[in-house]
Amino acid sequence: MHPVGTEARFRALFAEEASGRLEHLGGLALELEERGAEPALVDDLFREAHSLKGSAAVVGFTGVAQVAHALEDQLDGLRRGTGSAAAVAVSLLVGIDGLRELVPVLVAGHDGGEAGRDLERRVREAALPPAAGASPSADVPPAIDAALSVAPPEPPPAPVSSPAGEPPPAPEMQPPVEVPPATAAAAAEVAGPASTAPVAPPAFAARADGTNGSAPVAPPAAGAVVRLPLERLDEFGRLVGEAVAAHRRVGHVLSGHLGGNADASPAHRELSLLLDELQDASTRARMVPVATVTGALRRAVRDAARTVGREVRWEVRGEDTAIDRGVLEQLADPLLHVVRNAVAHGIEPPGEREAMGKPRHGFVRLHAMQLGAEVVLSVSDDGRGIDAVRLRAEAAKRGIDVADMDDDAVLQLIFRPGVSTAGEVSAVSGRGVGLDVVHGKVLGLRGRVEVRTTLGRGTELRLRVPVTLAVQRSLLVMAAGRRYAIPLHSVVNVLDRAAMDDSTVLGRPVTWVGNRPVHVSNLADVVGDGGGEPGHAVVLSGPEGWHAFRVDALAGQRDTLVKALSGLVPPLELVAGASVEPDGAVVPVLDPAGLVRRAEAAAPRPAVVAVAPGATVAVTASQRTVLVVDDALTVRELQRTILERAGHAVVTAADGVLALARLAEGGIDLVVTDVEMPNMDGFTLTERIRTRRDLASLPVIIVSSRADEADRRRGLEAGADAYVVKSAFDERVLLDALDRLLGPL
Amino acid sequence: MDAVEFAPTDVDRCRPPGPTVGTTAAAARSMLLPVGGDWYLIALDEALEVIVDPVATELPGAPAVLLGVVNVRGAIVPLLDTARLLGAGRLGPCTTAVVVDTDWGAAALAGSAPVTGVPRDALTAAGPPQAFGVPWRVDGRAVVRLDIAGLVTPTNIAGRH
Repeated sequence: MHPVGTEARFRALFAEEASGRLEHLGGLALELEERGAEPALVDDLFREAHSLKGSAAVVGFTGVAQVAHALEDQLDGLRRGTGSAAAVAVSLLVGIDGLRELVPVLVAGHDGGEAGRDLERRVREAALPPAAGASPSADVPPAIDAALSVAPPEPPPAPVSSPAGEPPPAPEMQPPVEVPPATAAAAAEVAGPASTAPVAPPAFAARADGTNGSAPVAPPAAGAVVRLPLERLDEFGRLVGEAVAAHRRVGHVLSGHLGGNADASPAHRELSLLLDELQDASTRARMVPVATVTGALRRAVRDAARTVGREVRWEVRGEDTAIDRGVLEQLADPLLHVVRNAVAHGIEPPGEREAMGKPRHGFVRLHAMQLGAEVVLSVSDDGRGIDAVRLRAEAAKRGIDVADMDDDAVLQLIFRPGVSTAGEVSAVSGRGVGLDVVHGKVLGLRGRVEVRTTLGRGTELRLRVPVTLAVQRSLLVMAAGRRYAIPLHSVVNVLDRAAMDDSTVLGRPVTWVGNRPVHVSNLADVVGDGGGEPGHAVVLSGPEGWHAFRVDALAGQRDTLVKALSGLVPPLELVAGASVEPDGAVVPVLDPAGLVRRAEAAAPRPAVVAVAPGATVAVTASQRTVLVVDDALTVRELQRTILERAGHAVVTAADGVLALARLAEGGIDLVVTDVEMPNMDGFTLTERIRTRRDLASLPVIIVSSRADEADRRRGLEAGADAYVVKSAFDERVLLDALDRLLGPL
Repeated sequence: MDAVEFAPTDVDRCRPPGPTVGTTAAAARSMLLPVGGDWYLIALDEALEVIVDPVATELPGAPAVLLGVVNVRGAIVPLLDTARLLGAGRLGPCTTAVVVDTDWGAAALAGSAPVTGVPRDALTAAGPPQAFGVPWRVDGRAVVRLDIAGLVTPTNIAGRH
């Protein structure tokens, strides 16, 4: 055997191999802990440790080889019937965690001799019987304890092919993926001879047969895998996408010569079919099974359970479900957080479970499945469930108005920053930090999170994400003569012009989508200088809510290969990327979140505000409660949104009579009222307020569409502190008036 | 002026393929990009393409220096207002663009008239380097050879926002 360890590329290849072997060993070690020393399992473990030792020796990493040898010794003891499976499992986990830290140190060219010897010693000690008085969680490997003790925040993002806690890839190589040989060969062929993928040499590639580099290598069997750097695969996918786009452009030119039908040419038709197949194959090559991350999840469940004193069984279904590598990579951390949450806050302590008639062991299950163009990753537990009453109280304490929320809406609050129902902050979670990040990550993947819970029976979180991000379904629209693509996943609805209300509320166009009032803007106004002949409205969903954008015309739906803009282009709020049309035109792909944000923050117009002289009332409470009085639901809800966004608590009433009744209950710091309302108008309401001793100093703002000077005077004479004209209204005007009367928050 | 006018094709590949770039007579030339009343030299080995009458797609919310993006053989390339990039006002009508390579990808520099080629022996050094380039004299006229690496950067583009 030749010492090749001095060559950097072999060290990098060893890092890849060790990454895979350590992951495999980790899974097997957990099996050992659960199932005991079944001979076949011990054999698998021994073979894996032995192969790692052999490869480490080849590249001159003697420290790694010694640790692997120590692992072999533990396993050999089990074979001979000495030693405990649980203790050996812990010893293995200690060794695996340590090697994950040690290997990159060695690959970087540093001397890991002392660290290797120390790790070998710890591995051997971990297999010894526990000392008297050891804590129940003393067998949690130190590395994992450390990781959990700082959570949240989450541990650093882990690539799909290298689970949490694993060291970063060697500098020379991207993390590899394993793909069927046929796909790898195709990729290498497309990339050309000069860029043939550096497939691992036989000594490292022949992992499936369990031998080390000294064994003869047979030709790859059917179903065998080869290791391929991710960047090669990405380049392959990009080239295929470019080829398909170029083919569409050729088809466009050809159709001009063939009576509008490029497929009249058999060669063109054949190439179309081949490219379709190639694109499918390329997309499939990006897919990895969900099983890629389940090892890390299982380990996280195990460690979290030991840290918080739970007994948990981990179950996985559908781990063969394929998903885009990029999507799964982004989901790795959110899934880790979700399973830790399930253990720490879902599963009850064993004694509590038994008292409730439940088995001591709780279950945390991951169920992956593909539904159409989506993959659903469901994490469920059979624990205590989420207490909606407690969540409601927690949210109310944080100033969230939950009065009108049903339980489903209240449950969605778990995704808000800072809201948590965890009774205590543990080392694992409970500060209300994390699920909002999970939610944000999934939204960023153009997915969504659903939550279902039954008190006392458990909780299920469903993460729904697209199978792939390579191709995006888009809605093409025209605005002021220009074409834009809008990602379809953010399109809530498309409203026909005839079906739209043309009403305005507080000076802003509003339409109804179901029972929900939604602001309306012209897309051309938001993305440019206006113009066009807006007709249909496309309702988009963004973090700020829904917003309807009028467009000149709809130009169909299309699968678009969205390209990122050049690194020279500064970040653009409204643009997510661009795509090339078959005719060669470039179409901007709009960013729905940016559009909604920009439209909602549209420039305010001048407003007419009259403030009574000397009208300033200081309120010292940290949050003010504002009573909004208006007979129009839309106005009430819009004003509620504006005021809540500014940090105020809001209660509402539909007319003056109801408002007086609400005022009698107390706790109102300011009234915003319309004038024209049934039963009692705003002028009368204001006068009544002024005649009551307990309310005489309560600030009142009248918001009315009556713009006459006489009306304003009438309002101020009635006792209003400010008079805002609706036709010139914007939220800043209202908030400024409120701040002038109460002082800023 | 001893200049070579490029063929008026829609897209003209300037840089010949192969490893001889930089050593042949062809590589010894530069091209002149008219920007308003000024001319700027671009070394031929820094140019990827010349686009005549580029059709740019404007990007919503883009800074004025970014005229839009153009499709160059399937790649989406930013088209930059060279005058604004140089801090010399705005370009006006764009009739040509030179696609150059940068560390951040390709970019197209917009010009106000067709480019012309200049043999190396037609150039005379005219002074020390200035901001974004080195002055040269071509046929009695002062021109600046653009320092593409210093000019076409995200920082400079953002700075012209």
